[in-house]
Amino acid sequence: MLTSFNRRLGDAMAYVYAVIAVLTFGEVCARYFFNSPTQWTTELVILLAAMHYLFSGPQAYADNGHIRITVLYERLPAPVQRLLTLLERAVVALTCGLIFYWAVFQAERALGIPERTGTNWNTPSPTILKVVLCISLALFAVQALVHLVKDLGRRNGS
Amino acid sequence: MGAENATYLVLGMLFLLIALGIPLAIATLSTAIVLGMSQFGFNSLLLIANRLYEASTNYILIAVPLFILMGVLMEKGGIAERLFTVLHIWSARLPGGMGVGCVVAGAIMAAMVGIVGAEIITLGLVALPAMLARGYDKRLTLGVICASGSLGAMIPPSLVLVFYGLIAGESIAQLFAAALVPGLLLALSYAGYIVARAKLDPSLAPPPSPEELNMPVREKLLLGTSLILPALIICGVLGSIYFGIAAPTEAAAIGVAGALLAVIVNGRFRLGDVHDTILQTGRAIGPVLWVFLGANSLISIYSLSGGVGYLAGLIGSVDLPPMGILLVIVFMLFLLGMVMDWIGIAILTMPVFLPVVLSLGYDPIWFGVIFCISMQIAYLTPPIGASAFYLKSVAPPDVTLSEIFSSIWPFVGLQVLVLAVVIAVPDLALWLPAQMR
Repeated sequence: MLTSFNRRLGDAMAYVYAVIAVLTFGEVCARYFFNSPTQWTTELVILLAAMHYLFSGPQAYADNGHIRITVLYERLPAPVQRLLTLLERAVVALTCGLIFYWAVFQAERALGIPERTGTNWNTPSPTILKVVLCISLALFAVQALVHLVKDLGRRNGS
Repeated sequence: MGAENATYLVLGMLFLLIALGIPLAIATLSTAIVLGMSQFGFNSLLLIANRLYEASTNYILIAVPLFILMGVLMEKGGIAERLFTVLHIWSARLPGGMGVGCVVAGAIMAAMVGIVGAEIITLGLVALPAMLARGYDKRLTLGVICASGSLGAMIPPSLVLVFYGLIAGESIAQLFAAALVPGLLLALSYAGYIVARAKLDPSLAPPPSPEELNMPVREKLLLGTSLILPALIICGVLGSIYFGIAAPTEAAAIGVAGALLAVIVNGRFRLGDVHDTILQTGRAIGPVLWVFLGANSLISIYSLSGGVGYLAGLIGSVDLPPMGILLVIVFMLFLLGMVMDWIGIAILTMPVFLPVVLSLGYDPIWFGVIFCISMQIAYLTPPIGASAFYLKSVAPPDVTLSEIFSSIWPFVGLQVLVLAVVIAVPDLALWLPAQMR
């Protein structure tokens, strides 16, 4: 269930690129044809894109789509491969979990101020992104655990 | 723990994790965690969280998804397909005409698409069956497609150059200008090789049917009209970067708008396709971007522990003339390219190699082009030749991976040759950017 949630979240977030393309193209037009560059486009575009980047991690992991070097892996016998996959899940969960702990710390500090960009538009986008980072890492770690449980179940079943 | 031990730790752990098949993004992150904890204690993990946040808020980085979006749009809109059809009719009279058409199509697609995966898959679907049906030699055909498709990593707008510019802090416009001539040189050398092979042994590349040859010139030219719009898009995107009208990210957005227009004009616009295009773009980002995020975190902790300076000093102190050190670096890029993904190589090695190259008095723009050609080679060479995997995924089942790998060597040879020429004559890369300054 979480796997498909991660997939859908990533897919839904991908639409930010349509918005980004329109906004950025509009910005170029605004600058050259109407002589009135906006101040907020860049900031908004960065926020949107960064949100997708962060959610794309768990999404890619839901489909096991991250770049791996499998030259050695593919030559190993199946039982060893299975063990290595379990190890991979554990490493991913542990890594993301550890960073999650500090990302929460970072987000708490940002929320306490709350942190703003300090530009003319002065949005709280740093705070938003730091919270998004926590959510993304949590999803990543839990996704690894979900995969792990499934892998274990498959092992017992076969 | 000193810089030296930190280096052993990073190399050892990274190598082990990658060899065990842990995703690159996580391998770099967990190495960063272990290094950070051993060097600076538990609190250093805050730095990693902070790097993840910082790295994702880079404006130039947004050019990457936008260029991918533009490329997928063009591919889905059937523009690439039409390109090959037109070009192979135009080049029919040349010996090995279809092969040459494939190279030219690859070069032009590289300028509009810039994603090696998309290019090879398109050429594999369109050019491969056509060439095999004509009776072209299988090995020659497979090699041509892999090599032409890889041009996407070289001819601007290339994602390799965007990332190199990000890491090196160099102007992406200058890099794009520098890569243009060497990129065309590569394409030219492929085309020349095919013509020479076909001339020496006509059975490798049978001539086309008489009806294609006898097509009236007017009709041939008429075929080309569908390519005018894509050509304008290329000029618009690259032109606005070269002349400083728009930042790379903005130029990419212009490209997206142009590609959409071209698809609509060609009558291939469907709302469902746009939906697919956006999803495909989104899914393509995750794997690439998280390697960037992970490697970025690792390199910042590693450089904080003095490791980057230590390694750079080590390479710089080798008792060789500057050119010798440069060749050592290029050789290391080759070796890494055989087993690793280009983006991982760029982020992990450039912070070490760049200061060395600069201290030797070389131009970072020129080095960017050298890096880019080395990554072209990395795309082809086994065991991790991304090009071959892409081609295998769309090739007929009787084409094996080892057949593809055995077909690429002449083209790897040509790439090495062009690399040597660019190293020997830096002006090939540096003349055009100098005109822009």
